[in-house]
Amino acid sequence: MTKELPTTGDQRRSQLLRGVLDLCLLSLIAERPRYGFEFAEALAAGGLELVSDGSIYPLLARMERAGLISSYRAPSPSGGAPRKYYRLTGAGHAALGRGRADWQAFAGPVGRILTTTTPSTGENTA
Amino acid sequence: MTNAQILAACRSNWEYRGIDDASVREMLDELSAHLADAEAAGRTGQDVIGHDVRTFAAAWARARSPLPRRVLRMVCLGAFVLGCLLLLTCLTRWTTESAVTPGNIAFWAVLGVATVVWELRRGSLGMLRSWGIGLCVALPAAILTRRLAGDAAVLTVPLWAAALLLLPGLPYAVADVRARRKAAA
Repeated sequence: MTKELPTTGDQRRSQLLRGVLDLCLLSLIAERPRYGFEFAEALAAGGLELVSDGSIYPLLARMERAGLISSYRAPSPSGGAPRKYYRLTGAGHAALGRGRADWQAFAGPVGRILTTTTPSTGENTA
Repeated sequence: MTNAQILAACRSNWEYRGIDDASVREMLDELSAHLADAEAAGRTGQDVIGHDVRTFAAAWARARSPLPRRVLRMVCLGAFVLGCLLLLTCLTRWTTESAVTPGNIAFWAVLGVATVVWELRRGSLGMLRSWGIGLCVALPAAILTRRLAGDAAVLTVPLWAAALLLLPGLPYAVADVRARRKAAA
């Protein structure tokens, strides 16, 4: 089954998500160590549906290379093969703190502009 | 695309993009577990990897290991394969040097390109099938080149060159063998 082409709204949502997905992942890991599928589930439960679940893996790999997260293998609570869990490092905690501050500094003004401005009727008032 | 096909395509893609053997296994284990969890939750492989498995695999490979490191690995392993070929040729002909003809170059170049392109696009076929397809393309190319360019030696490579070619790739080859043994244990 093929999916419909993304609309402009979907594209914007996807671009916005791409900009903050690393922060969302860091925040989820800060809560407790998690493995790949758990991230997709947690994001979906939080109302953020990814275009493809697998898009988290390049990001996780990049963050691991940057030393923001580390990984270990442990048995899954649901059974089956051991999973690769990710946990936050000291540098990751610091990056998450900075990222949260950046996001609040950015989202606050954007929210104010989008909610306080009133659309014009389009008529010439001169 | 089934989960097995997705995993096969990713494996080939990562191997030919210069990801080391231990990392390939780790990434495959992680993806395989995710695909199984997603399937149990009623999601398809396409929901996990998106519409194009090659784009997904390439993005993960780029994030996992920087390009210079992957290129260095591929160059060293390429030289290692050439060294093995040279050593094998000298041993089977019981000679200390090997004459390289245009037909030889065409054969191995086409065999290599055909194998890599096929496996990157379709995933691994297994050793026998992969060689079968490679030979079907490389043999006609070698025969045609021989007819067009003749059978005169382009260069003669001494046996000691095999050691030079083998050395840079040796640490990578040893690490890969160790990773395979560790995974099998």
